[in-house]
Amino acid sequence: MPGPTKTPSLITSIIRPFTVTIRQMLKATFGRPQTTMYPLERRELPPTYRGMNAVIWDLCIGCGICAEVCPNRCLKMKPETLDDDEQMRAWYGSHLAKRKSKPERPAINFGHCMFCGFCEDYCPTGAMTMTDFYEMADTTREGLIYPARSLKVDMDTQPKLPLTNYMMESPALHADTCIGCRKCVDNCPTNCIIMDNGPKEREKRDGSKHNIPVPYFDYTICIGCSTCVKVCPVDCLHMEPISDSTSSGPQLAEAA
Amino acid sequence: MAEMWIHMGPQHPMTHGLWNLRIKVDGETITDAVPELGYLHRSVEKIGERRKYFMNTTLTDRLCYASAMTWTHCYCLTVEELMGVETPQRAKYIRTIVLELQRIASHLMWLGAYLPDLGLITGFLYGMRDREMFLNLLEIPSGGRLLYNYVRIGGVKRDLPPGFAAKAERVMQTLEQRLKEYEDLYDNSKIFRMRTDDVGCYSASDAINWGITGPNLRSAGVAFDLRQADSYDAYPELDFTPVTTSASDGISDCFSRYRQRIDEMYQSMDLIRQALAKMPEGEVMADSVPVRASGEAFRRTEDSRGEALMYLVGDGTDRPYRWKIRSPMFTTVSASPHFLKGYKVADVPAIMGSIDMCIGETDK
Amino acid sequence: MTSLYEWSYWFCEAWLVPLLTPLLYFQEHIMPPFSNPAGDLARWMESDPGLNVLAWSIVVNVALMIGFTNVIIVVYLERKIAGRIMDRRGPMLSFNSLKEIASDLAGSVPEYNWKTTTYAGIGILQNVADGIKFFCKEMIVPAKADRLLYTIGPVIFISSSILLLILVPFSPRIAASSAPLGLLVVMAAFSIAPIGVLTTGWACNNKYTLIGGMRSAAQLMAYEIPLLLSMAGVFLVAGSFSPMDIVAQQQDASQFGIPMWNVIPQFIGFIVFMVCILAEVERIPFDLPEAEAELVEGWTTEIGGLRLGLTFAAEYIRGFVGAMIATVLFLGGWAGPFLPGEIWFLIKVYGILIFFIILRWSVPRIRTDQILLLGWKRLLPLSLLNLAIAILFVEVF
Repeated sequence: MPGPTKTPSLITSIIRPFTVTIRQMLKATFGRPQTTMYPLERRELPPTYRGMNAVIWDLCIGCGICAEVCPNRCLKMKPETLDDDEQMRAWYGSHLAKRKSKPERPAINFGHCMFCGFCEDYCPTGAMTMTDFYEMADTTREGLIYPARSLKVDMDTQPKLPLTNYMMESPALHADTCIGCRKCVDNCPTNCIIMDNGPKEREKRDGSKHNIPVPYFDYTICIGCSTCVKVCPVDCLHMEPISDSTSSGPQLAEAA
Repeated sequence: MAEMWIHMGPQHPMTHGLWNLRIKVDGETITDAVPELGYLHRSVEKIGERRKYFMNTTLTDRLCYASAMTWTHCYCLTVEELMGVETPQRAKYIRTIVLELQRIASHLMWLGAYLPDLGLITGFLYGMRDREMFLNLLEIPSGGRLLYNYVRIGGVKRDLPPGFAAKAERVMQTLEQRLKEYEDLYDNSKIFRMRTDDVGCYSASDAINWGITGPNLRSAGVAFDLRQADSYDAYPELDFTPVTTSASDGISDCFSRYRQRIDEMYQSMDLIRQALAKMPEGEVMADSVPVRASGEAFRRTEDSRGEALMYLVGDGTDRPYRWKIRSPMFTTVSASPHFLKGYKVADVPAIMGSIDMCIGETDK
Repeated sequence: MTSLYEWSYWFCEAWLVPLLTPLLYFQEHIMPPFSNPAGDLARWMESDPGLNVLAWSIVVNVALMIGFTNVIIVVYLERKIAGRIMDRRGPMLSFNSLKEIASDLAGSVPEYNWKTTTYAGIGILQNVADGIKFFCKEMIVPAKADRLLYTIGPVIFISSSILLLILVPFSPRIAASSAPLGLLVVMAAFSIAPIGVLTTGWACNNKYTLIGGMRSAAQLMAYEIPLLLSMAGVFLVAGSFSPMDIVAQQQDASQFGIPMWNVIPQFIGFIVFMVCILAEVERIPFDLPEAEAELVEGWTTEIGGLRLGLTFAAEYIRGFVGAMIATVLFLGGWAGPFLPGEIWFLIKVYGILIFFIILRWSVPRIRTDQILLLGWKRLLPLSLLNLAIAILFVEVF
């Protein structure tokens, strides 16, 4: 397997290198050189290639996981106004699920992006894709900031890749501090939260008592985007690893 | 001529990165040398302590631009040990394959970078041309050409596509042909031998004392390979013995370091073939990978350049509390004054090139 | 007319000066109260020194033109052959592709069409682009440099290189000068350049350039002697230093259509000469003065702009002249059947240059101590051996 290591004779050692280079010269002159004429010829890229991002808006539910996992924080969720056609085609009724705020879509500053592909890997619906487009050079830094709408693509144009990763944590509640404001319900992109009576009681002005409603999570639907944790005004929610991702059913995670 | 100090770096063709070698010369003979590091320090360890465990694979990719996969793999092994995650068997084999592909690509890049140091720019293009084939192979599963982000905590990003084995086989056959050609161009070239034989010598015992590892140590005839000594992934199931070369008994010179890397490429191809043949079916990602971890873990792997070591302390949050990286090149470069002294100025690129500098991992 | 110099002397004497001087004499008397130097100028032009200067300036201009034309061709060849050796294409810019580039610059997006649009050409414009780049660069003098020596150092190198071209003939018909000691003068001019290199290396006040200059001096000194000794064998056989006589001797020696050029009896001398001339023109494997791996750019590290461009050009001119001398001395010069002598001469010269180029991209650079060892311990005895063979050759035949 390994080649010879003994010292070659003088004449051989002077002539041998030329045999290689001259053969290569003839090969490249009469055959095809290794290089490609770049603007005219391009390499064939594999479907897995991590080029510029594109978002299939019809699939996007605006959960913000891509912004959560972005190591460089170059991806931000921006509120967008959907037109009627887009609203009609939006998957999972995401614009309906987030009742209070506008639907959000990712916008990327490619000046900071390092094309690691985490946003694509962790996207729960496959809306975030990476295309094979890579000629993104610009003359200004501002030109590299792509607003949300410029990343929009149609559903049929992009290859669909199998999902590889998912967020391993889900929200859990400290029920005694919850004030029942319903913000988490209004902002949940998957509609996996319902409000029901909690353990604590509250006295109304007229003296009657009633239980404060607290959120209940359906962990089979929950994607672990932590939007509810971010919007919670009293910090009663936190993310917690769930021991078994297949466990299901609405349950109340009680604080110890 | 009186003795004088010459700065080779931070911007110098010899450096292959951003570092400074101050040499003291008497005429053309080196009497002293001081390597100065730190120009490329990016505080990877500290940034990593602010990021979640899974995000750090992007940082470890950037530790060494020539061999991103091996460093990410080292990090993932450490985190898996910290979290107690068991990698599926198929993922282990895939890791072995991509690691060996990365090792060949890294050695080819070294070969490409070494020849311009000696004055032959053709060698650079040849090395890069052959490396290109391996980058194309690694691009198929990972989607990246330089920074793969492919090895993940608990497995690999995605399975190898069908037809990968055939493509790899074709590429390896091409490389074998090319390596035979290079024997004529380098091994059998008078001037190449004049430049590399008996230059930059150190003995095996010195190398062990200085902490030199990897191909630089094995080129002195020491059969120490972490793939066997502290085995991981699918290596225990593969049949191989560490390759060693040495100029004379237990002495490593530039030529033996060159020959060592060429032989390691042959060995890597053998390992890839074995792994591709033995690869089992199954999942490539562990079922459940925790986000939080506590305790401490420590793991060392055989990087393309030597012994890569990582040490992690978790405090129960989703970010590491402390992260320490040990780079093989840092020790080798620190020892460089010992094997630079007494040689000529023209030998500096030949010697410093032959140890396969990668400043990214050295400065971290 | 045996040489370009004599032709231009005749041209100045018979045409240029008689046409110019009446104008100057007319100017002299146009305003009588004031003295006018025009008449003095005319009288100087009519004298022998004046005619000499005019004739030489014509010769130098022609030599420059020929030199730079050949530099463009050699650089082009170097790039293309290097590209092929490295499994790539080399430069592909040509006049055809200018149209697309112009439309690109004008702002209109060129329509890429696989069949019609192509940037591909033969690549000759790359040299023009490089020339423009060198012209456009600012000339920066290092703060602590010796300004005078820094300025004249490259000039010595460039001018001595151009002087070389004047001294070697292309053929009996095309020759700039017909010095009887032709090739000896060439060697003398060759050894002016190290002074320029050493001066620049010292004047730049940079350690890389200093080492480069020192290396150049050591190398050229070591290789001067075997070079001249290997040439001495040829001089001995021809009995003359003149390129004309040397080529004529080689033609006479050839009989029955079989060339009996000096390369055959004096093969050792040829090998020694080729190695020495490679070292003399500082090409890989002997380009130690500008070893870019350890000395950045060697003695040219600190010079920039057009001066750097002309230095590169001068290096190629030296390589070209080296190939010319090798052709004259060992390969029969312009001797050859069917084709005119000049064509044969250029074919041989470019053959040697292509060999130089392939050599450059096939082997690494050798080390300083090794180059000196090779020069003093190997080439010097070999050249003496060659001289002995030449003496034997002369005595026996």
